[in-house]
Amino acid sequence: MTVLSLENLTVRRGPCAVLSQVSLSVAAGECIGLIGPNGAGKTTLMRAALGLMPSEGRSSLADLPVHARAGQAAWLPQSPEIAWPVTVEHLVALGAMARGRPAGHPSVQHAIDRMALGPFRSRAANGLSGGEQARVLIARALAQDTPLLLADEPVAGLDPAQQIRTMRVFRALAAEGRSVVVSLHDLGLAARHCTRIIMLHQGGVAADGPPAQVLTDARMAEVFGVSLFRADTADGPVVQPMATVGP
Amino acid sequence: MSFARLMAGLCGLVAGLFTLSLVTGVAPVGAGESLAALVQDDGGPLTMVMREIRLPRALLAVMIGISLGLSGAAMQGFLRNPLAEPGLIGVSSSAALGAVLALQTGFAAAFALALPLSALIGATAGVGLILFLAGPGGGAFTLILAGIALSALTAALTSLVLNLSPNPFAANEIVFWMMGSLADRSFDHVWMALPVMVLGWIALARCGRALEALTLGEDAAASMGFDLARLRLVLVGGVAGSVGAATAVAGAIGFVGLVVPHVLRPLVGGSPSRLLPASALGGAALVLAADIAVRLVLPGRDLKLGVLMALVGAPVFLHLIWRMRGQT
Amino acid sequence: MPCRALLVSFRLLCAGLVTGLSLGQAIAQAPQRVVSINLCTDQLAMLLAAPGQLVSVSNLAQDPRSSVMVEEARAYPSNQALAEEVFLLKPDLVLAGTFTARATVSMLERLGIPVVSFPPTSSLADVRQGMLDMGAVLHREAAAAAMVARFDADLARLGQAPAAPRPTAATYAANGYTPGANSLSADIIEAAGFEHLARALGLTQGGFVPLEALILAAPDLVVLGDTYPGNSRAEEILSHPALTALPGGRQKLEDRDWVCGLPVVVNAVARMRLARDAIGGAP
Repeated sequence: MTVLSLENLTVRRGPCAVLSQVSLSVAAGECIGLIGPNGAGKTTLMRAALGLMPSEGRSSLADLPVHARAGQAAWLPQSPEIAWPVTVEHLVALGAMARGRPAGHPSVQHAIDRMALGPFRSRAANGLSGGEQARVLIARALAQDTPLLLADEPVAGLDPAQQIRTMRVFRALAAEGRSVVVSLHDLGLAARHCTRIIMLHQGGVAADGPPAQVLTDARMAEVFGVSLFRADTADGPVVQPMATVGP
Repeated sequence: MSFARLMAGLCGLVAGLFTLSLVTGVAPVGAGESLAALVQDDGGPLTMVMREIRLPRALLAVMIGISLGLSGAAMQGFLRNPLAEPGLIGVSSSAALGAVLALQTGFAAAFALALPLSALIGATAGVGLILFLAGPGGGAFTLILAGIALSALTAALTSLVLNLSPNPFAANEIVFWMMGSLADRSFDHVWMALPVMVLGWIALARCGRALEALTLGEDAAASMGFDLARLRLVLVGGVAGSVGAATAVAGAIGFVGLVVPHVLRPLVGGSPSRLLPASALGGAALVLAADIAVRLVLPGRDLKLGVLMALVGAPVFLHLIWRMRGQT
Repeated sequence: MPCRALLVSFRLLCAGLVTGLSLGQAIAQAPQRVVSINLCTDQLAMLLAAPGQLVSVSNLAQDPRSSVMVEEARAYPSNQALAEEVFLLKPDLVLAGTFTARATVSMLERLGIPVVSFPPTSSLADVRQGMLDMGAVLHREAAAAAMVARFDADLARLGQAPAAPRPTAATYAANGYTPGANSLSADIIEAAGFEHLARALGLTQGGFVPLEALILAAPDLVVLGDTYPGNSRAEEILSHPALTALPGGRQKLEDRDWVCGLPVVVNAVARMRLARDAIGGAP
């Protein structure tokens, strides 16, 4: 089942297209890593798909009326903002509110448990550390309880353990039949935890497929300008950028 | 403190201050006697004083307090900035300009609601300009700078209009339009302001859920199914209606929308939607208290409400600026 | 400055302060070029001066809101009570009020121009004295004596007001201002057989009466002036429903009718007497 389909999605900023003719679809149960160098159009792709910015082409999500989008996809923006000193529990419950559900809805408790926020639930969310705030915001998006979650750099600023836990949560969501699209700078995390990788380059899709097929030496050199170190472990393949190549 | 208990406490506070306002005046009459004359027509002048002078004054204090408290809480929620306050950022003085223009051109006499609607137009222009300049990504200091410019411009234009008036008293009333007063207002003013205000209150009360979502920023709120363009329109209309009607009858009263949400925010757990009704009641209590105080401090002398508000509000404002300075 | 504020400031003042030439001081020769820079001296001088003796009056004398002699005043060049323009008129006497245009007066005195300052009129007796003083200053004693005689005769024709009962009358102006008990308007009101509310409230020099206090005092008559064009909050109080609903009578008297000690003050007394008689024996 398809939860998101994009057809020729194009975003222009002035005369130049920052996203051009992107077509893809996301199926239920996929955990998709969106990778690409800075300025490749990762954030633009996700915001345009959500209907948060003007675009050409079609997005199945942006075509929905504004109030109906909240039931289809949750969005975790890159720069987190918690404007007021609300409690963690109150903040997470905003996810349920977006669906017209009460704060006591099971999805709220489930999200708090999933992000291990129980001990913080009564604390003011904007008084927590950066990493804790990031987890609270992920929990908020989880509490929206949607078939699709789009997350922009959700693990930036988290310590390694939290990065792994967060990626495991995404992977578990996919295992439950939901879909996750997550933009990542950490190619190792993408290779290890995603079922599919979409590589963006200069506003277009450079490659799309399972990690092993996308992260080839040629593409790494062409798109990222780096070489990869690869290793196979008992837990699966591991990749790590090693050196810059080319000009 | 639970939200229900907070609201009950605020209701009790407003009721108490309302009664106190009714029994406060220059006439040396006992409280019981005054209230009895209010309830039962004694056919004498005391009933007249209670029903035609003190009752409309107390009612207007409540209405204006609700309007300013609600507007402050709503604007702060929308801009996610605790400094956003209609008086400080020039919305009230824009409304005053609209009102003064209507009064001095005679348009105010054209139909019953001409005065509050003119103030509403002035306030709409003001709040629209502020949101345009200091909207998404504008930041606290853009807001304050835009507010200073707008306040200065509208205050100057108001003074100009009043100085050009054929009425020699008008020029002396700049201070009323800038500082606000409830002295000698009548039921005419209550009935004139109430319809426009109530529409404003309804508009602002409907913004609660969207403001709640805006806690997470514009992008997140939009993805949560809230139409921010529509929210902006409703909010501009609500603030303009509330502040416009309030300013048309009582002049610009500053700091209410700053102090009240600031004090009540911790008591509602920071929630922008709960802050709306709490600030409405808190605003009513603050304006009632200030209006009682101006009558006790200088009986019969029409000390302006804005003077007391600034004494209370300016330190809060400075404190907030100092705290924000620490954050950036 | 708004003209009413000017007029109002008159009534706040106590009489007797005279600067420059004292009123009693004889001026050896009749002045030939007299300039008046005060609304009240303007009108009195126009009534008493010999033809050609008066050269200019203040622009307030031409304002129908403050002057009862607008037509007469238009026959004279007007001045704005500024030292420069008055000096250029080459007057040999300037008539001023004791409490208006003080800067102009001191400048003119330094330039050596004789200035006579008239105190504000605060009673019917002051009206007579003002006429005689003006007559003396202009060397028109006979005309002044005739004017006083006519004034007294007109007043006498009105007869004595009933001594009792004395209903209460209040004057009420913008911002709730009322002239005090020691004012010409209070004397006129009392001469017409009223008790003046300002006296009952202990306001000897005039002041602001809160609307509440006025309503509770429930005067039998409220004397109101006209309002200016354009809107002001100061005047909105005069159309407050509580004031409109006050059961007592209303009498309209403009400032110009009784602010200066002129013969027309008789009309103000007569109008107040009519209002008094309308109330009858049982207030």
